Amino acid sequence: MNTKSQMLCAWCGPAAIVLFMVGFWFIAGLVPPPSPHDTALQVVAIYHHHTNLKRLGLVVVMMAGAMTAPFVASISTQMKRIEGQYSPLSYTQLGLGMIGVLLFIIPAFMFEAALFRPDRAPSLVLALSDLAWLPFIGAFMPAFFQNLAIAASCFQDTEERVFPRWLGYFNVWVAIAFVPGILINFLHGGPFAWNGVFCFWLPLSVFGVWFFVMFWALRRGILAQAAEAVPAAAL
Amino acid sequence: MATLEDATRRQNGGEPITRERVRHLPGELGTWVFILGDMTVFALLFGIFMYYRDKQPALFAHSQLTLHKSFGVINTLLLLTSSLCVVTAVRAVRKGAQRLPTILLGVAVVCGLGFTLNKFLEWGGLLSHHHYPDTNNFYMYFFVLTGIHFFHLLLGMGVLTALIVLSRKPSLSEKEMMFFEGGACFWHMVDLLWIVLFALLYLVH
Repeated sequence: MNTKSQMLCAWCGPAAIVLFMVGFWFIAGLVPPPSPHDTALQVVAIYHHHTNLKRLGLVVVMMAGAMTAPFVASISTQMKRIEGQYSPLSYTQLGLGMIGVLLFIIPAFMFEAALFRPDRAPSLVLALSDLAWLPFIGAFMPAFFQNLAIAASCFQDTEERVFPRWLGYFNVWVAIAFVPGILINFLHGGPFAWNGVFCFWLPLSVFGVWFFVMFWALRRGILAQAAEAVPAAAL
Repeated sequence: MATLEDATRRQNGGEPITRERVRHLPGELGTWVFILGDMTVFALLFGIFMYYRDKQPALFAHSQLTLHKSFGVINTLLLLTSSLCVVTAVRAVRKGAQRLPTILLGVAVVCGLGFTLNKFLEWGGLLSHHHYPDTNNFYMYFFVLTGIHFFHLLLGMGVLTALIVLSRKPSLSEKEMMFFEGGACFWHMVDLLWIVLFALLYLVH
């Protein structure tokens, strides 16, 4: 049994989300996001303000992104207990979750490029800034199918041996809550812009809550697995 | 002082009624996690709409006049009819009826298809009069809100189709019955959300 390593990987989830918030919100100061309405000069002014802190905060964001990998792996490990040897859902979750790591790192490097030479032509800074914000907020598609894969495996677990069934419904809800993110590509202001209630604050909250709910379920699953293993070992 | 609890205890021959025996939660717990979660999101959407409407009352009132209420009324009637069919189907399934639930659910799906047709006619009409989502805030909210609702309606039609398949079985296991009830609850949510949307988009002045 590898209860300890599974538990360690599971703990990486809440740790990653806390680290992400600290890096993005408190060190880089990018929450709340600047408005998509901002002109090139306004955007340049943002990157001129506390430039080094922003650079540092985004490095923390990238570390946090990479730290989600063990968490994703531990979800797949538990999903495999439901599916058995042939486990497409578990692999789907794993693959999409690992792409999720890049969805922290690639946009964060776009920010870093904007911050690297904030004195370049303002229109270029604006372009880099857009390149960072749009995927950072809008690239929910891997998470969408990842959540559905988790949901599908919860529904397969008819005896609720690993995950409770409501976790499946919860994951479907999370997937659907991400969908309005489509709208950030179309709108520059209001609740459906990348800094709006519906496309920033709601997904950010849902995303944060998802980590803690999944962590709770993982911990429960891992402990149940350990408990199942004990009588077998005693024989 | 006699409390309600005492009264129920007396009715029950002195035996206290436990909560489990009185309460029946339709569907499973998870369905309600989903439905309440989804309704929270919609409540937020409705709140946002009211907030922005308050900022531009003249524009919203003026744009609202370009909507044809009849589309909204017909869609409301269609969904109410479908909900009635679904709830009757659930009762029929509980009583073990054979063909009736399938027929009722079929009628509900047809109502959903009618809603879809109506929605496309309405959207098409607005677009042909150059009322685009980016024309002004009212149309933006109109298209986004009705669009998100329509997405739920499509999910709901998928659920109803699954229920039709279930209803053709000679008898349902406890788990299947729970799925049946949960699916029916989802459809009622789609109906309920539309009624609020209808009032908000077409009627509120």
